[in-house]
Amino acid sequence: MRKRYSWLLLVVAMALVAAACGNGAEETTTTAGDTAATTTTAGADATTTTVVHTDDDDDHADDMVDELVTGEGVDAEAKVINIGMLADLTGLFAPLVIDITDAQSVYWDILNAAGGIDGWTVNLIIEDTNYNVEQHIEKYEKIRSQVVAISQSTGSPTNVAALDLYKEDSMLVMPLSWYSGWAIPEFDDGLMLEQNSNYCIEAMNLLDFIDEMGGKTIAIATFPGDYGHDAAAGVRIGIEYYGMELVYDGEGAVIPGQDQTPVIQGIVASGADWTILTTNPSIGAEILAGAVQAGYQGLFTGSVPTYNFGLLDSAAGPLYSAVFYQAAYSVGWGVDTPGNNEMREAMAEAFPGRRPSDAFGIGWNQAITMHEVLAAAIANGNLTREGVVEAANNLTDIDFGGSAPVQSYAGTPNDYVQRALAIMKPDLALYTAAGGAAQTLSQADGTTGSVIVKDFFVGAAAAEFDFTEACYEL
Amino acid sequence: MIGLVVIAQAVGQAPVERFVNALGSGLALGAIYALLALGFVIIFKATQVVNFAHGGIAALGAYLVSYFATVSNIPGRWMGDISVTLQWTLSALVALGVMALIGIVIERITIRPMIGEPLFAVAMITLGLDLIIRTTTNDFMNNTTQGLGDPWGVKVIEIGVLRIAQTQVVTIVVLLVTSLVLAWFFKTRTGLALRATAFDQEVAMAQGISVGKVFAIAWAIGAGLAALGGIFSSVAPRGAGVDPFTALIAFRAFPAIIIGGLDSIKGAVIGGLLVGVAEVVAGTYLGGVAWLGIGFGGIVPWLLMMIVLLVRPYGLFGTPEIRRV
Repeated sequence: MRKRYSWLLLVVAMALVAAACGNGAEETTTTAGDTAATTTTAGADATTTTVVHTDDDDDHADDMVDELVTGEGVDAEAKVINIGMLADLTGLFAPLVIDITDAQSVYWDILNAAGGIDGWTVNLIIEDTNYNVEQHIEKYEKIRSQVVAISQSTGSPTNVAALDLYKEDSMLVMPLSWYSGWAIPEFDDGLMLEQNSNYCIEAMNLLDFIDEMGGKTIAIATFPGDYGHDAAAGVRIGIEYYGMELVYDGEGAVIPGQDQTPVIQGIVASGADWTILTTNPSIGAEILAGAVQAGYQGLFTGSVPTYNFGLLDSAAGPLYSAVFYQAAYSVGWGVDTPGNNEMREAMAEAFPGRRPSDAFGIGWNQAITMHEVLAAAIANGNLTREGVVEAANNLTDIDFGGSAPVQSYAGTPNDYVQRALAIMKPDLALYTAAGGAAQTLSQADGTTGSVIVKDFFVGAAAAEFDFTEACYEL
Repeated sequence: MIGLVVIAQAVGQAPVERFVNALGSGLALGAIYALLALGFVIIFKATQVVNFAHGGIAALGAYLVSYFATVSNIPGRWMGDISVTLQWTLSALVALGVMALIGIVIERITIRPMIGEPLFAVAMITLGLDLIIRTTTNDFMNNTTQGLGDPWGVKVIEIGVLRIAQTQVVTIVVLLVTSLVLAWFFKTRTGLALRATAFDQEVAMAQGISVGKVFAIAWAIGAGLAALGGIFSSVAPRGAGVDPFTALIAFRAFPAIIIGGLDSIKGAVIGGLLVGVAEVVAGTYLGGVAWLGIGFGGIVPWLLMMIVLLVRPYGLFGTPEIRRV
């Protein structure tokens, strides 16, 4: 008994010394229950929480002390970890991001209800950025002192604009953007925790699939900017690798708000076996429908954000069902995998009347990754921002139950960059038979109409690619 | 000069069908511009208001068609067994009617109280209206793409080497019919009142014309025409449906309005067709010319507008303003 009190005295003494050394420090000592004492000392930057596990039934010296350093964004007394989301809830990507945000919220709610991470509750602070750079920066400024990491941050231009702020704060951020530069530590200081493949490697895998399907001539049509140029770089690498021919080069030629006839005419005139689109769904549909209308006989595929199952509800739905193959970072809503089934069950219970969406899986898997990061940081005894970054960059083999390929972040970019992609095919008949736009999450046979035609694979070009720098430099 | 040489070479090298198809596509795009320009010109002609809310109104009109045709089936739900084409056409007509009413409400609430105030202030009000209407419309459609459920889909008509979407043919036909109806309308008593008000509001009032009523009619017609432009810019092959980008089409129609003349009905039609054809043909033949840069086709209408304004500051068919100094 005397020994236990001596430990406590020592802890309090250390805390007082630390507080005295700190600048404007405050000290909190909390005794939680009758089995543990938590002493928290908050300095200017970090807090050391020493948890003394005791056993009232045992007066012997078997008490265990775990030191956990915490910092901004963590309430050590209440055992709450605050993580942020800079989400486009009202802008151009809102339909996608709302689903992603809701899936994350459901994941954390379930986890917290089950006891959190080692007793720590995870609290989400969600801010709407409207996919606007100015608002993104403003909202980041608002929450930067409140959170330990950002579990979803929408967009490339927004994140590029805020990158220096993230660096100032050593803030780990999971971007909702698949720019190849996010995997390069020299560019992001290892702060951007990219999930899934990137536009560049994804394009190489698309070329592998096209090669398998016998395609020889390729047309590309992309947005300008990192999205379009990154994908185009991957297409060029793939074309060279597989000995194909680029017969129409529309890199950066698809300009939103402009007439797309020149691009359509270029594709049609090229007579390419395959066209690879890197656009958004509505402009992609304009090009696809326009080209088919003008007599184009080839097939289409595209970067992941080019397709949205909502296109099956449009007049172009039959065309997508006939001529389009969809790249996929994770399997669609209706696909049967253990991870997907768990997510479906949770989402159906939370939002039974909502419409199925492939975006739920993205948010769910992001939450799984952030869960692993926080658990590792706690296990390492360092829940400061630096500790979270350190934990993230040493994670290996994150398993999504088959709904997405296993992900690692340890080592060099060549070691951890995600090289796997799945190919899916929109099937209008399947979608319509399940109820089309009238489907709900509670529906057991609900589907977004996509079926896997090639499960997660790594093409030869992507496998052999020496990934040491971004495919397209910003 | 160099540009002309490039065009000549490109045209010379291209097959006839490429040119014919670009022309067909350009005329269809021009018809959309012309419908938008007609609405803009009618409002400006009658009220002297530069309506920056035209894009928002166009998008709202397209959304209403989507809602009536694909969600609520209005008025088809009360009409028994009717064809898909008739059902959609009736939904579109109901949407146009609602848009005309919205035009009247906008005029009555936000424009009429500003009579006599600086035109700049009125223009700013329409700019604010545009933001309000666009944001609200985007909220209605959850910022997604909403298909219009039109009966033509992606069907194509082939005439010789020309392959043109049925929707594009319908667009051109709708422009022709609308132009004829407007030509007739301006000869009616109400049309004459509108023309008289456009000529001189005070004289019109002195002749017993209700200028307020004329304003309301102009906004009703203008909003309906904007909606027509929004509808045809939201169907295949121009788009998969109405989306947050739809309102931008009005901005693209602006050169057509200026080239034709801000106050000329005839100019709106000719300017629209001219700009549509110029944009598509230039994009088709000059899009691949590296030194011109990507997207050159998109600036051709604005270059054309600048050239026309340098030669004819009031547009091809606009009324010159005479000032005594």
